[in-house]
Amino acid sequence: MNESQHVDQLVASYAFGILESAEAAQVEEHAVSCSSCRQLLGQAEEAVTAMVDAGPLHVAQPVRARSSWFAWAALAASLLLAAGLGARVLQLGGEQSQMRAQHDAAVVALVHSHFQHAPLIPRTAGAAAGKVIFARDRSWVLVVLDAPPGDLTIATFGPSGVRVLGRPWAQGATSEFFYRSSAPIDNVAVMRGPQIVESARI
Amino acid sequence: MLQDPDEAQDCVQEVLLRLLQRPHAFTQGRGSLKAFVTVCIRNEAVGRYRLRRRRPQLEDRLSKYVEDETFEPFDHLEHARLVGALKTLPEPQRRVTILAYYHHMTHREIAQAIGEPIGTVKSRLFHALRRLGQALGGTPS
Repeated sequence: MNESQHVDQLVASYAFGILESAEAAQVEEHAVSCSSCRQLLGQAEEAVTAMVDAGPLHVAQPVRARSSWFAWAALAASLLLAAGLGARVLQLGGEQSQMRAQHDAAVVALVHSHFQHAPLIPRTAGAAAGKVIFARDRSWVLVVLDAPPGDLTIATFGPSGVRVLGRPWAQGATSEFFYRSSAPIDNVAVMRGPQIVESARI
Repeated sequence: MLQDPDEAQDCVQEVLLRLLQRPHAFTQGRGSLKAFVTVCIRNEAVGRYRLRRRRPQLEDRLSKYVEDETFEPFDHLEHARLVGALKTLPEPQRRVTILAYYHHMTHREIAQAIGEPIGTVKSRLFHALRRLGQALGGTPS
């Protein structure tokens, strides 16, 4: 076997699963006939298996770490509950009525859907910590920010551009935004003017 | 990784079917059957993950590393025994390992993110995985 055909520099990437299919096929094909590369490939597979066995990796909040998404779900649930109770004892104006309707919609969505979460990844310095809780079918999103709404807006974005959905509402020192869509939602952005402050892929 | 139990089951089923159709894919001298099957299933899952997230998010994904000079992927990992093993790696090897193992980036994407040639990325991954295998007991030292 020609030395230049050896795939020793690719076995790690093969085991990590990051090769393009043509390169992966090249590694597999070569390993059949080359015992030294086959041995290296086996060792790489053993090492990745040891990494898998060692435990999953989790990604923490990039800005201000939260221990787990349960804390966010609990925060969202408690905020929604507090808002729901508060709304019953307050005389609300038109904007507040709309806010209450969004709260109710979010509560119903949380109760009746399977949902997941994604962190908001900061794009600019000073972005607030936040999470996007979303339905598994991506039919709704609940954005929870650990900061007052200020001049922020919530948007979705994709190949066709950015679409502003509305402004989050204040909940004490935090803010929230709920949105339901007929089409699956892929990306959520928190914006200040035309600038994306932070975003999440769901 | 897939965050979808149904798709995870499909993934395992597809790999097992493929292996049944190609019983000679696993050859003697390669390593353990467990490692072979684990990597096959994980690679299938990574492929599905990458297909789902391929475009147009790639540019966005890279910008996280390119634009934010203070971004350190290692800082974002928690609660894993693996972190202990990763800490034994020199920083350049650790960085490419995290981008490959957790973020499922290709050579080209990693090279673009860290500003190094693709050959350097391949070499760092190779040496990093050898060290990790030894640290975790996955390969003989």
